[in-house]
Amino acid sequence: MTVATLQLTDLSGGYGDVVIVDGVSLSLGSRQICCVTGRNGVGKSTLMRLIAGMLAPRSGRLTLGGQDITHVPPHRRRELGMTYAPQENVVFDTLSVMENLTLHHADRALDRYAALFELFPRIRERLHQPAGTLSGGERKILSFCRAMAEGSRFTVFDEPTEGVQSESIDRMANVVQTAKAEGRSFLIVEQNLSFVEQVADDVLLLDHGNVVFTSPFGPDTRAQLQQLMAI
Amino acid sequence: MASSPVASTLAILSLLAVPFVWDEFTAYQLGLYLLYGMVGQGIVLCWGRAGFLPLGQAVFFGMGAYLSGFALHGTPGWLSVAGGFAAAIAVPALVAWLVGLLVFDRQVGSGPYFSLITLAISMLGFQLANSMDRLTGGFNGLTGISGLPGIDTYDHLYYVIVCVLAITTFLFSHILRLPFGQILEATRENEERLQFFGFRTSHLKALAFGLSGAVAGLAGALYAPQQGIVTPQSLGFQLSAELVIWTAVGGRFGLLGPVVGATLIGFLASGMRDTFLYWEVIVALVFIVVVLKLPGGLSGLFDMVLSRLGVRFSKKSALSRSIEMEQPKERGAPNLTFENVVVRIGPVGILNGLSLGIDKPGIHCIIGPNGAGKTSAFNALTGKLPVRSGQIRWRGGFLQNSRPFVVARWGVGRKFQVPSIFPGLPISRNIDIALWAHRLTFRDMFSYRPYRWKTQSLDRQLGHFDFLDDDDMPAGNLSVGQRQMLDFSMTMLAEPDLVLLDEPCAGLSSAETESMINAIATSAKATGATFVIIEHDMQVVEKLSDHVIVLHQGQLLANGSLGEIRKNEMVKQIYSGGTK
Repeated sequence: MTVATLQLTDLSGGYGDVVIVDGVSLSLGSRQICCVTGRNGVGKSTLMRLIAGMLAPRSGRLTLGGQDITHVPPHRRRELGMTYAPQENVVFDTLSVMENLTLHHADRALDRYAALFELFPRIRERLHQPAGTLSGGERKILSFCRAMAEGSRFTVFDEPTEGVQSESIDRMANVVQTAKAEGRSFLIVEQNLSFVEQVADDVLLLDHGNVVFTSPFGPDTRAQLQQLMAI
Repeated sequence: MASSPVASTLAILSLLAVPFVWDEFTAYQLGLYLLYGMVGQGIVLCWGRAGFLPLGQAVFFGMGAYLSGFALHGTPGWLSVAGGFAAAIAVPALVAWLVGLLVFDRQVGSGPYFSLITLAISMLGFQLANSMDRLTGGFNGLTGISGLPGIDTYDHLYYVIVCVLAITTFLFSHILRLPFGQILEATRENEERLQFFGFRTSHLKALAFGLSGAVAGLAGALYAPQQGIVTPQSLGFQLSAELVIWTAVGGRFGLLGPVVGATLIGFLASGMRDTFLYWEVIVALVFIVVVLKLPGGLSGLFDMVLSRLGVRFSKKSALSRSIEMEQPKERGAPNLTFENVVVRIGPVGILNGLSLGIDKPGIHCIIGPNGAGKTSAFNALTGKLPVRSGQIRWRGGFLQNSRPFVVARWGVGRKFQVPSIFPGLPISRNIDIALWAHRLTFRDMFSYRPYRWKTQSLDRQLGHFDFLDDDDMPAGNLSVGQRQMLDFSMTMLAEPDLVLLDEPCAGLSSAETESMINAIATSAKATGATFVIIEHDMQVVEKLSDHVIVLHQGQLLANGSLGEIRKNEMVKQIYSGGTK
């Protein structure tokens, strides 16, 4: 039997007395990209925070490569092969772009970014300026590059294309697809259906903290999603 | 319960019973702690409510004590006592207000500077009191202070202190509930956003600090007759630190917190002082545990226990919005120009001689690659980024290097790229604050009427986004997309003439994007204001506007109709836009 990269079983969580994610189950294999979409406030980011360990679950179970990580702290999850790129606060404003990219690696090397710099030259051009001077879109690209260069077997992205220009979004999609071919898996919260269309093997629609629709991404999926989200 | 009127009334009645239940000496001791608690109420206003931590509050307490001590020297009449008390309240209030004005004027957020300056002032106060022998009695203190005329210090002064505490509690609890108190809370939550609504937050914070100085001075004025002596220690750093500790332990979010903290630690310390050598270690441990485990202090813990037991204090029902406010008068013609605007951060050029003009009402879109300078153009216009050279004009006024609240008062409203709201406040309070922008007078800040205000714009926004009706939900619980909608609605509620929207559809699904487009188009039509929108989604651009401005590398690349921009070869080379 193949062990799923990520397995969620009845995962629930929220803030204070409010339950935001209510019993979500999903399974993600290797070389698989699953996109999570849905209206605002339905619990997409909260689900990602639960998976990344930024929020403790109320109930349910979470495994990574067969290992139970339900109560494993975020930094240990990284060691176990998980990377998380959040929706907000994606850079350290007062650190330089270079420090943002290398701070978490003992060798402080930029080599791992060589291919990404070719695709996103603005990041290389701005290496020595404070990340706080980057535009909103550039910050997102920086965060994307940092997460991709980790090379983790499983990566969580929360709205990676928000504020990013379309040329860069297409390049992001290519990078993700190449990484998938190398054996990596991704769970991506995304509202931009054009991006979803380019990368998703499967889609999952959340509503009120529950999975209300799940399907492999086919020719009609985009229309189905639009219809479901319009209701 | 921390500031509930029921709890405060019960607490005051219990205090009045103390001399009967225990004895006069206990009441006398308690009186001193109540005075410290009164000073702590000022710290609640500054720290718990407005978010800036004063570390030298004893200086105002000591100032009040000395001034009252001077008036009570010998055998004073009621007139000189009244004069002394008035000075003991007014002088510390004035000093605190002036310090606040100076420190807060160019500073957003409290940061450590304010706290450090107040600490320094406390140390300075101690040194002055210590060295000015002739006036203050120096190290030995000001002695020979008599009690209040006709009021026995041991038998009756306690009741005076309880009554004064009741009055300050009543006044402060009103202040916290009034728009002034709500705006202070909003300052703690997001001071920058308030400035973009035109509020001069430095003045409001200075006023709060002045009030805290006044109550500290009043407590000091009662301290002098209660103790019969005032020493430099009464305005020194140690007492200042203790006041903060008592407030933190008791709870900094409610008015009873510091009273509880000062009383508990006061009795704990006096009980252990003679019997246990390391009693200060116990006090320190209590402080550390409370800071680490109970951010709301003991009164916060009490609230939590009551909540677990299912006890709820009935909330005052929200006031119905029944006062229709006037719409802005006829808007003048728009006239926005950037002339050779240069913005640099260190060696990095952000805007490199940007020139553009908008002189027609309606919706205008700015597009361009990431890092083109779109948000920076908004930042330069609204005083968030310093302009090295060039001019930015709006209706004849020069806006470059103006402060955000000044720009806002020129009728410029802004929705930020990352939604900027007051996360700890309920949605309804976020809406109130936006409605108050440019409308709230000084007098209104101290009236409950503004809670009843409504406008046509509010009706429109409630029609667009139904979640805005949820009165009690903290805005911080909203998703990023809902915050976008709230931020947009708040921007519109301030009724600006020039509306700057930075990626209003980012993070929204296609259906929500449609709703946002509809809300923008309807608002633009209804208000007649001029909208400038930064957007990547060409579908949004297409639906909203036919005037597109393209920026690239901090300069204007193209300017024209959408059709013209689409045909422009230079634009094609650097940017194609996209759709969701």
